[in-house]
Amino acid sequence: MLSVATGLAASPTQVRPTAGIVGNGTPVALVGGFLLDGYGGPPVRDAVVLIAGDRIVAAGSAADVKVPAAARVIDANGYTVMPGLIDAHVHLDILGHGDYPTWHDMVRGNYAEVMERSAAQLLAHGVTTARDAGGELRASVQVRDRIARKEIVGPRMLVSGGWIQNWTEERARANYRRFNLNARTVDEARQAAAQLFDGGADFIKAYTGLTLEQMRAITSEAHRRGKRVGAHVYTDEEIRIAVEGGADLLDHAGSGHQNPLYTEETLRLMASRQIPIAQSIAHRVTLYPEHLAWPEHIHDQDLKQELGRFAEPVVQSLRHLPSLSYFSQIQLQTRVAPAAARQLAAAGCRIILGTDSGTPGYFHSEAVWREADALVQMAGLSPMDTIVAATRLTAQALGVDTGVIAPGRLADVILVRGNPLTSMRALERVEMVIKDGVVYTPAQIRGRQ
Amino acid sequence: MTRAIVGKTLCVMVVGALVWFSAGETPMSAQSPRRVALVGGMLLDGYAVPPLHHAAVLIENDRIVWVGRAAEARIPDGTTVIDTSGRVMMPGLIDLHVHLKNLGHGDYDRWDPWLIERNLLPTINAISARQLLMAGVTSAVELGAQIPEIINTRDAIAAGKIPGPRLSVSGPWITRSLGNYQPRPVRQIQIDTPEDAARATEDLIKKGVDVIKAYVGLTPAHYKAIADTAHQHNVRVHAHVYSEHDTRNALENGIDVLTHAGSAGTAPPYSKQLVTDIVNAGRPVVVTAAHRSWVFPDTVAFPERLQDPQLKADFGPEIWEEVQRSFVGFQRLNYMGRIDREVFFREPGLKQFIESGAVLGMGTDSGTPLNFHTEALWREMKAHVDLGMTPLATINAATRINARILGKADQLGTIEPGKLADIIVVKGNPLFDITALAHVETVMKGGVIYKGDGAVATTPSSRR
Repeated sequence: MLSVATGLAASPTQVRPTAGIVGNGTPVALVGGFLLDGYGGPPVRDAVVLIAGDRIVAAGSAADVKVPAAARVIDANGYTVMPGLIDAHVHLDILGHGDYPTWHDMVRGNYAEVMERSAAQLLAHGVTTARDAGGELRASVQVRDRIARKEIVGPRMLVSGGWIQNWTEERARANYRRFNLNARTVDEARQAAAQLFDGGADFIKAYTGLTLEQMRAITSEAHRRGKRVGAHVYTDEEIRIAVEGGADLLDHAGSGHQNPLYTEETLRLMASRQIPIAQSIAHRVTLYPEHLAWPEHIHDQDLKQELGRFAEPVVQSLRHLPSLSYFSQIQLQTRVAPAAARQLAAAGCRIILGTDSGTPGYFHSEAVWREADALVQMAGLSPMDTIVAATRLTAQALGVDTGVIAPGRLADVILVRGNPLTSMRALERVEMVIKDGVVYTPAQIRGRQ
Repeated sequence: MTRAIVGKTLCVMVVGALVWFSAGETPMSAQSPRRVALVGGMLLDGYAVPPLHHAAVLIENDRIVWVGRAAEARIPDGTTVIDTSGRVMMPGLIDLHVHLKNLGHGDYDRWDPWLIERNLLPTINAISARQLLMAGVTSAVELGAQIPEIINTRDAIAAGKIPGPRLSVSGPWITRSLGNYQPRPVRQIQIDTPEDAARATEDLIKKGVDVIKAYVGLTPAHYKAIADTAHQHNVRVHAHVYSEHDTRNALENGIDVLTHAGSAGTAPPYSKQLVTDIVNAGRPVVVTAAHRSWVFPDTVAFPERLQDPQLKADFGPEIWEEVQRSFVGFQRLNYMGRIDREVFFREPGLKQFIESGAVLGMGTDSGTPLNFHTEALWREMKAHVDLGMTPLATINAATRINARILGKADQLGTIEPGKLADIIVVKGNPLFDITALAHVETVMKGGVIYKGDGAVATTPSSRR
């Protein structure tokens, strides 16, 4: 547990960090940490980060930043201080249950409850901003706004609502995700986008089957409104349509899945446009073997508390991963993924962090550190590049004013026990989360559930 | 961390109190036995076998009585059940080389007079002992301390008066020269002839030490005299050796444990012949690889570790401030004087033993500058994993193999019925990432819980 203030100069007032209490104007000073500011330069040791209201007012070495006498001091000695993590691809409406049809039948009508739980879980594990990549629009907007109004705790959310796809009517009707929008024509695609934005969406998720013209219609509708489009892509052809169609972000490219390696042309297209790519490598391919080797991890007590009444069905559904349809291609994916993961970074593509958290066995509590670890181990990013990807670059890709620790920026800061540059798994040990200047500890967030 | 405890008939507080009163090694024979069950977690039992999933361990007083699948466990009424779901259970760790007098302070020449002046030796021994235990170290070998203080500490721990690992102590080491350090008569016995060496050994054993440490400047005749004398009393000898020459002399003259061999860059890869002879003799090597050679670069990369909040809580303000003072400009410490060469040679030094299949024990030299008791052993284990030892083999070395090197294989080092109940519970899976051992949540020694839910009260700072 973090200790507060003792042993420092007597002048600053010493207050226990009361979680979730909106700042009353007293500046907060994080003193003595190892600072990774999100820009990728050398770490600053013995750093001070000063926060007033919801903003960072100063950050730097203790020699350069004076701690005001009135500040509430949080002793960050022994901790890494870094920007809140940003996940470009989460699913608030799922909690890791192994079977989608069963899950959606179970929670349909209660999506907001599930989403609130996911949001709290993400925040407790250091994610201060996230893009939801597909859920019922009304519930998504409601949860996003309740978080923004500080009625409930969670990351700053950008929501997509249902995703837009071009499927046969039969297939679309049969799907358990009843809130998705099926567009058979260019006009329908544009209307679907307009409908989502009118309903409050921040982002579009362009799903499968879309033609180049449909993609263009969606992106022009979005860009006209100053909004962005993320495209769900695996194959060379899907990538070509997405990039040439004007998408702003690619989901899943380079995660292996079942396609062979990308062509030179596809890699050049992605690299030359510097389109942000959320690879989502870890869900399935690194999760699966670890789960088989250590099935007990899903019985973690903290996880149980976080999942609440959903813990039992979720845990039950994950008793035998090999039989789940979600993992039916796992042998092939495991074989393809290492080479595919490495291709993108090697070609100079712009890698950001997106996890697909909430998918089977892939809990919101562990998605970010698993993906960050995979970016280092499989994609070949350096640890520092991975930290930058998980903060500044993803913030830029989502268009949010956070992701770095610098004066004037939103005060989204986490304290991590240990050094993530040595092992990304240190990100599993987030011990304090500050979002919009409000201080939380994971245990306090869990306790609210 | 809050974890569920289900008291089957007794509430947790009551059991806690019972545990406390029976913390001494005398079982409460008249009453029913104290029973604890650890249920649900994955079990690494110390052997080279796959983990047992969803396991349970039943403990009666200070012994393990049953190990198996949780579903098959028959838990008697009155048992305190501790839910270890989502955690890993494994044998308590054993460290074959610790120094309780030191807490990681950077400079012996300042530390020794500072603590003697303030009469802090017993306090510091107690802090070190508690830190080791809270880090999951349930047995340790203390190699170089003044007597009778260290014997008193050992006995106080054994009597349940202070928390700490089961200690085997060497008392002062036996040396023929002063070595690199200033003379410290209280911690070393200086001898001249092999006969002196035998007499010093005899004398130490009479005073109650458990092992002998042979230090520097010794010839084959000295090693032989020490080993022969010690072996007459069933006492083992650990030799502090670096050079090819000393290592061979120790090997050939009956020394039981070769400590430091392969570390510190003094002797980059030994001759093939020496390594082969060590392997064929089955003579244990305790490389102490991480202190300096891994600890220094890790500190440069993350100097924050020097201000770990746990250290601050453990030390108290006076010691904390003195230790912090010693870290200013830590790269200039005398102790790190040859660090470039040590780091340069760290890989061949350790790999020669890993790759040759030598019997490797785990010891850390913990307490030496920057090498804290709170984390020395996982750092040592990580060094071995970094250079190719599997995580499971490394864990087995720190438990079962170390128990064998200690000569207590019948009591310690594995989780199986009949053994002493020295068990730790870890958050995270050390088979994926050995640094999970930095997150020991529960420590049980002799059936008594010292850390985690249901722990006996020790001192405030020992419970996070």
